[in-house]
Order: sequence, then structure tokens, then C-alpha cells
Amino acid sequence: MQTLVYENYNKFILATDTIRQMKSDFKTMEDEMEKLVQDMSQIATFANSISSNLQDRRQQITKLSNIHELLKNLQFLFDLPTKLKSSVEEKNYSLAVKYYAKSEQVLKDFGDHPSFSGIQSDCQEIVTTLRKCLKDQFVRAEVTSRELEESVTLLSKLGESSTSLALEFTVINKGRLEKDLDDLSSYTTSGENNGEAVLAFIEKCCNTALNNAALTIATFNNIFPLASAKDNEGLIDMAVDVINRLCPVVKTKVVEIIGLEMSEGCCLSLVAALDKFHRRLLAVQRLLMSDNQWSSILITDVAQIISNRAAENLVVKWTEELQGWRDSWNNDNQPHGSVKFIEGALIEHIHRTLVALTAFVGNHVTFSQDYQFRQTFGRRHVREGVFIMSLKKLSVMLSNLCNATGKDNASPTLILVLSRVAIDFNQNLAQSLLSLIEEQFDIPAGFQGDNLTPISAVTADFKQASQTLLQRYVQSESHVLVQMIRKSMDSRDWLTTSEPRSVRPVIKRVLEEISRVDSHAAQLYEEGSRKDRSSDSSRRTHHSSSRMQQKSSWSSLGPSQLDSSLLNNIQKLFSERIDLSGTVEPNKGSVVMAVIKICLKGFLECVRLKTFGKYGIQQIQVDCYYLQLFLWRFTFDENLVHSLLDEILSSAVQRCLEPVLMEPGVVELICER
Amino acid sequence: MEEEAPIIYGLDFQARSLCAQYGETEMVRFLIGTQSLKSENSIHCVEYDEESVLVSKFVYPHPLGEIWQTNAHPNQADIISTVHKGQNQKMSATIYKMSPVPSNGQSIDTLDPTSHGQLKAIASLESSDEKEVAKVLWQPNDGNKVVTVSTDSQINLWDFSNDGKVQNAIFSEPLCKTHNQVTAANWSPHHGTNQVAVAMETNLQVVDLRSVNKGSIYNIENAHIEPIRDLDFNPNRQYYMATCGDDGCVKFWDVRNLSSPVLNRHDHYHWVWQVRYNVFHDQLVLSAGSDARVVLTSAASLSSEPFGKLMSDDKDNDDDEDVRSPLADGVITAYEEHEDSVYSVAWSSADSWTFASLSYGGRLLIHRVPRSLKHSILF
Repeated sequence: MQTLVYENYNKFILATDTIRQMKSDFKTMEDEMEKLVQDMSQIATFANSISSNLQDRRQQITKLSNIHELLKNLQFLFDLPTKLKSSVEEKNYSLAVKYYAKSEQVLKDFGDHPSFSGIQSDCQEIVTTLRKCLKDQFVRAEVTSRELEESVTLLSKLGESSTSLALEFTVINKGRLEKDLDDLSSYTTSGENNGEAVLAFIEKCCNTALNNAALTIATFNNIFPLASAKDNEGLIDMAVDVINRLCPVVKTKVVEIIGLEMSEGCCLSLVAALDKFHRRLLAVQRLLMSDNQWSSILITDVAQIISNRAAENLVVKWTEELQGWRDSWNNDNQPHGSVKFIEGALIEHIHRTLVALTAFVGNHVTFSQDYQFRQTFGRRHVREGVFIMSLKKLSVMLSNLCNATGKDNASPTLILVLSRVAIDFNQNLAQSLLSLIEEQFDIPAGFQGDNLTPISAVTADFKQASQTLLQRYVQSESHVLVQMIRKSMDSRDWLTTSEPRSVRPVIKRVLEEISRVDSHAAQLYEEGSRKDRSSDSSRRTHHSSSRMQQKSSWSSLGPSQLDSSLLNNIQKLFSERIDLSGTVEPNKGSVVMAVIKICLKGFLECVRLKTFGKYGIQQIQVDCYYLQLFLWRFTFDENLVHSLLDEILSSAVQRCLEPVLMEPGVVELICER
Repeated sequence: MEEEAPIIYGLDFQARSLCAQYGETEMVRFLIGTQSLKSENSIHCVEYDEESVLVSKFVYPHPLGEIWQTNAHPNQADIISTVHKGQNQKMSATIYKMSPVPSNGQSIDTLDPTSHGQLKAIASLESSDEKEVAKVLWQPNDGNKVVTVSTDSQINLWDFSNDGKVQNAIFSEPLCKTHNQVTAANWSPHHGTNQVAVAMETNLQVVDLRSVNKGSIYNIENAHIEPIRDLDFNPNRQYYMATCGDDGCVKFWDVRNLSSPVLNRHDHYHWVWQVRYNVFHDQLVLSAGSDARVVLTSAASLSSEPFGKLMSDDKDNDDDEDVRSPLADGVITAYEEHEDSVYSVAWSSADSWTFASLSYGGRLLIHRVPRSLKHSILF
């Protein structure tokens, strides 16, 4: 430590000296600093005095520059009307609006100042023009959506409220759409082809009303992106209203244009047109975000109208056909061929109708992809509306045909033919048509639910119709025959007539007619069951011999030998009551038998009104024998024929003053001659 | 509708003609004229006693041949007329007085059973030119006059008011020049009993007796497609009549519109020979046909009894409306008990619910309308 101190002693001395030196230096520095402070304060004083001198000048300069600015603005204001005017004239509306927006506030603030009020009113005027121009542009028919957008933006800058603008927009477009609607509803076609006319009409619909509606909505959404729900609603309501009215217009027009003629081509075009409309309408609907069922309702309606019309057409065609056959019926027509021909023609018509209607459910058709539509159309319209309805009408038409009298009276043969037609419809034609419909219109085969009319209702009608027709046939054929017999009975004096040498021609005639009836009925109907018939030949000989015995027993009786009333009563015991009831079975035997029954009963009634002499009754005997010889072959119930003939003869015997019958051999001889 | 079994009365002869004894208003009595060429014919007076359900008869021999039509005087029970035809003679008409006849309300049983009935001819209605008579008609209501219609449609009017004396008042030309024979005729009870309807085959003509030679007042051409067999006027509604014919139809006509019948019923299977209105309840119509059936038809829609109208006026009776459902038009009952053609049918003059029908074999059936129907009409 001591060493260290010794080593560094002089250093300490040096440090002490230095410190002493420093003390004295600082003393001088202090003095100088004080002097500096005095100088500085002196400078500050000077500076203050200078600045106070300059203050005034500076204020003046500021004022001047303010005034300059103001003057510039005033200059702008004074120029504003001109500028606005020129920009309006140049149609640079946006610039005009920009200027006006700049000055609007000032003008509003100083509007009451006389010098400004002039400018303001000028500006106001110009802006009014501007607005008018903008609105004109807004209203102009051929305005583009961009222009429209521009003018709406500018107008809203000019302070128009967007609500009122939206309203105005709606109103204007409404007017435009109304005009489209008017045009469409007064649309008239010039072309001949209905199908093409419909297409053209729908084209026009799509291009005008629908297109414009869509455009309107799109533009609206563009221009008023922030439009309130209420404004939007107004527009949507308007569009909905327009479409609501458009649909009926389209419906009536389409229906009107397509007209009453319903060819397949027409239907195809109609469906194509409807389909197009449907797709466009769906698009618009999407824009409207509406869940209205316009197009499906429209199409269902049109489909219904068209199918109703098709059914009516079909019925008209059928009526014409039937009338045609009735008026041009030729009695030489062979019944069998006529049935085929008539059925063919009837079926042809309904086929054509159905084919035309299948257009509605074609694969390429958009709206028919809708299950609901297919179902309604197939079941309600085609099956019920066309098929069931027209067939029911047909059966009524068929039965009505036989009620007609006078010149509308149909030929009996035609009535017979139609009865067969009705039976064919009853048995298979109606069913096969229904199967066809089920296949083509997507109805499950044999489907019965959904309140569908069962096919049996239709076939029952046809059965009824065929029954009526058959009865009518029997009536009219037997009417002719009975009339022949009655006239022949009336025209002869049976008391004084001469000895019979032959069968009366009228009886032969009657037989010919019956055999014609038989051959006609045989062409259309099956034989029918014969009652207890063993063998033709044996039966016949057997019966004729028994009849001969009976007759000979009569002829052996003198007029006084047996009381005629007793004979009558005995006769009654063995003959059964003859049933003349009108039911005619649809088979040949029954038809012919019914004619024969009515005929012979008529003969009987005529006989009972006459009084016979000896030869008169012999003539009746000959006639009856002749009838008996030939009538058996037409019937399956000979006994009935025989009992009727017996009754005729016994009635004649009762009405005879001198009942002496001929020898059977002579009768046979006369008849076989 | 319950069926009541009919009363059957059998004659030994064939018969076509039947009528009620109109002059008798208390006993149910019918007159039948037989039609036999060989035996003697007679008028059978048949009485039906409802209480004892017994049928009694009295027979009046008719010497002038077979009877084609029997008609009773509208008021006098003992006066009848017949259209008859003797052997080898033409059809002619005679008016008879029957004796003995029980006084009104007395049963036929009160007559002496040993006495013989007698028909005394009062007048023979012969026209001068020997025409065949088709029909004899009594003037309805008072019976002061008689009309005969000949087969060629000549109309003769006989004045009968001077008792016992008969004068030929009118003697017309034939209505129709064709060969069509008269098939039916009847005298209208309306229009002052001046109108007579005559059917010639399918045509019907109505003439006014005061101007009989001026032709018909109206006619229905082709009223039926086959000959008309009978016609009857609605006794209570002056413009309505019914016709029937060989076409099996009964047609009802409003004579103010003759283009088509107001109702056409086709309920018979063969010729319809007679149609008769019930005098008291004209909705009930009987028809008889050669299909051996008698059909009781309702023509309520054409009736003089305003059923529906009464109902609607009578609001208090709403409760039992369903009970009194109006009678519909159509067949009420078809009677099929006959075995042969039924040529004639007649309502009783004493009981409006009883009627008789006659078939060719001489079987007379006396029916009563179903009780339920009677109730539905009465109450």
C-alpha cells in the first residue's frame, strides 16, 4: 500500500494542481456566462418590438386572401346557371348534378339574400329542367337500363326519395306492361294455320309482357339495390298482378286461336307453345320469388278446355256419322260388314282425338313432367272428360236414334246393326279403349280409385242401349209385318170368300220378311239356345203329324157338335199363357222369335175381329199350316209358335159361322204346291 | 205396394165389351156384353159386394146378335146401348131399356131370381144409308143425346131428350174420304159437350157437333204409328186426353199443343185396346191390352189434383212432407191375372177405387187399387 502511495505520489500532486487550475478557470467561465445572459435578454427585447410592429400587416394579408377565396366562390355561383344550362344542353347530366350539388347548400343558406335569390331561382329553374330531362329519360320507352340507372342515381342525388322513385318506376313499368297486355288481348291472327298462330302468339307473349316483366324486375333490383322491402313489395305486387291478368288473357287467346278444329298437329303446336310459355313464366316466377302456380293452373285450365272441346268435337263427329248412316242407309247393306264399318269409323274418331291429346303428356314437354298435372290430365280430363263422357253420350245417341219418328226414322236394319255395335262396345271395345288410355296417359291399369267412373257404368249404358235398340228393331220389323197382315185381313170379306186354292201371297211375303230378319240377325248374333230340340227332321214330322191329328179332330166336328166355348176352354187348359213381354235376348233365336210372336199375336187379334164363312176359315187353316211348315226353322221354341198358330185357328173357328175345316191332306197339298 | 187378390167372375162366352152401370151410384155394378156367333148373346149385369166379397149377376138376353160395344146411360141405370151384329147382318146400334132393374142402392139380389131379364129396344139407331156402326156414344153428364159413328166416319147425332122419342138431329158427311176405318171414338165432357173425337186408324180428329160438316176443329195426324184403339178425355181437365193403340203406347195429349204428346208410356207388349181415366182421381189411368195385361198408370203430372201446389202452399205440413211424397208418373201396378187378351176395362161408377177388366175368354176380374196408393192420394 505504502509502495503504491510512494509510486503514485506525484500523480496525486499533479491531480491536486489540476483541480486547483480548474477552480480558477471556472471562475472566468461564470463571468462570461453572465454576460451572455445579459445579451440574450437584450435580443429578446428587440425581437418583441419588431414583431409587434409587424402584427397589423399580417392581419391585413390574411383578410385579403379570405376575400379572394370568397370572390372565387361568388364567381362560380354567378356562373352556375350558365354552366348548368350548358351542361344540361350538352346532356352531360352528371356534371350538372355535380355543380348543383356543390352550390346547393350555399344557395339554400343565402337564398334570402336578394343577389343570391336570383341565382337560386335561376338554378332552381334549370334544375327543374334537368329533373324533367332526367325524368323524361326515365320515362322514355326505349330507354336502356344503364341510362335508367344513371338517371335514377342522378335523381336521387337531386334529392328525389328512392321510395317515390321506386314508386314511379313501378308505375311507369306498370303502364308499359299494361300496354303489352292490351296488345296481347287485342291480338288477332291472320294466318290460316292455327298451330303456327298459337306459336306466334305465345312468342309475342314471351317477348313482350313476360320479357318486360322480367326486365323490369331485374332493372329494379339493379337500380335500387337497397330498396326497402316495402318498395320491393310494390313492384312485386305489380308484376304479380300483371301476370295474374296475363294468364287469363293467354288462356282465352290460346283457346280462341286454336279454334274448334283439333288436329294432332294443332295440339302439338299448342303444347309446344304452352311449354315455352311455361318455361318463361317459371323464370319470371323465380325472379319474383313467388310461389304462385300460374303456369300449372293455366296449363291445367287450357288442357281441360281443350279436352272438353275434343270430347265435344268427338261427339259432334259421331253424331254426324250416325246421321250420315241414317240418311244414306241402303237396305241392301249387309249387316255384318256395316257393323265392322261403323265400329271402325267410330273408333277412328276417338283414336284421333286421343292421339291429339297425347301431345300434352309427350316426353319432351316440361310441364307434363309434373306428376300432379299428368295425373289430373290423364284421369280427370282424358279418362273422365273425354272417354267416359263421350261414350256415355254415344250410348244415349244410339238409343235416341230409335226414338225418332217420321223422317228421322232409322231403317230397322240400321237399328239392328247399331244394337250390335252397342253390344260390341259393351263387351270389348270400351274396355280396349280404356286400356289404351290407361297405357298412354299413365293411369294404372284397371285403376278404380280417385272417384273415377268405373268402366262398368259405361258398358251398362251400352248394354241398355243395345237392349233398347233390339227391342226397337223387333218393334219396327214386326210393325211392318203386322201392318201387312192387318191390311190383308181387312181387305177381304171372309164370309163370302171363295175356296182356298193357295196360300195367300201376304203370308208368303211375311215369311220372306221373317227369313230376311233371320238372316240379318244371324249375321250379327249367335244362334241362341234351342229349347229341347232332339233332331230337326224327326221333330218336325212328329209334330206335324200330331197337329194333323188335332186338326182332323176339329174337322170331324160339325158346327153343332161341340160348343165352341167349351172347345175354347179345353184348348185353354193345354196352352200356356203366351208371354209377350218385351225382353229380347241378344241372340238370333230370341230376336226372330220376338218378331214372330208379335206378328202371330197381331194375326190372332185381326182374326178375332172378323167373322168367317166356311171358305174363310179354310183359308186361315191353309195359311196357318203354311206358316207352321216354315216357321219352325227360325225358332228355338216351336211349341210357342204352334200354340199361337193353334190359337189363331181356334179363334177363327169360334168366329166362324160354318166351321168346316179342310182335310189335312188337301191342306198339305195346297201348301206344297 | 201390397196386392189385393182380384175377384174373378167367369162368363161362359167370349166377351169384348164392358162398362160400368153409371146410373147406379151406390152399388159396384158392371155390364158385360157377350160376343158369340152361335149361342144367344146377353148382357150380364155383375154386382160386387165389397163387404161380403160376393159377386152376383143378372142376365138380360140380347137377341140381336153378338155385342161389340156396350154403353150405359150416364144417369139412368136401366138404359143401355149396344153395338151389335147379327148373323149376316151389318153392325148396328140399339138403345134398350133393361128390366127388371133394382132401384138405386138396392142389391141385385133383391130381384126375383126366377124372373127373366129383358131388354126392350127403345130405339134403333139406323141411319138411312145403311152404314155399319162402329161406336155409340152417350152425351156425357146428362145423356140427352147419342152419337153414332159409322165405320166410314159418318157422325149421326140423335136427340134423346124427348123421352121415348128419338130424333135424328144431325147427319154428317164422312169426316174422312180415305178407306181408313173408324177404330175409336169418344165424347168430350168439356166445352159444353159439343166435341167428339174420332180416330181413324192412326189419325185422330175432333169435331164440333154444331158444325160437324165443316171438318175437324183439330186433328192429330199419326198420333200413333199403328191404329188407335181407344181414347178418353180427362174428365176434369178440359185440354187433356189419352189415346192408346196397336203400338203398345198410351199417349197423353194437351190439345193446345199437338206436335207431340205430353206423356208417352210404352208399358204394354202388344196392342192396347182401351184406356180409361178415373173420374174422381184423374191421375189414375187404366189401360188394357192384348198382352193379357191391365196396367194402372199414374199420370200425376197431368192430373187436375194439384198435389205439388197444395204442398208448397201448406207450410205447416213441412213435417210430414216425406210421408206425402208426390206420386210419380209411371206404372203403378201391372195386373197379369188374365190369360187372354184384355179388350175392356172400366172404373166403377160407385166406388172410385174399384175397377173391372174383361178378357176375351169371358173372364171378368174386379180389382181394387192398392191401399197404399189410395192413402197417398187421399191423405
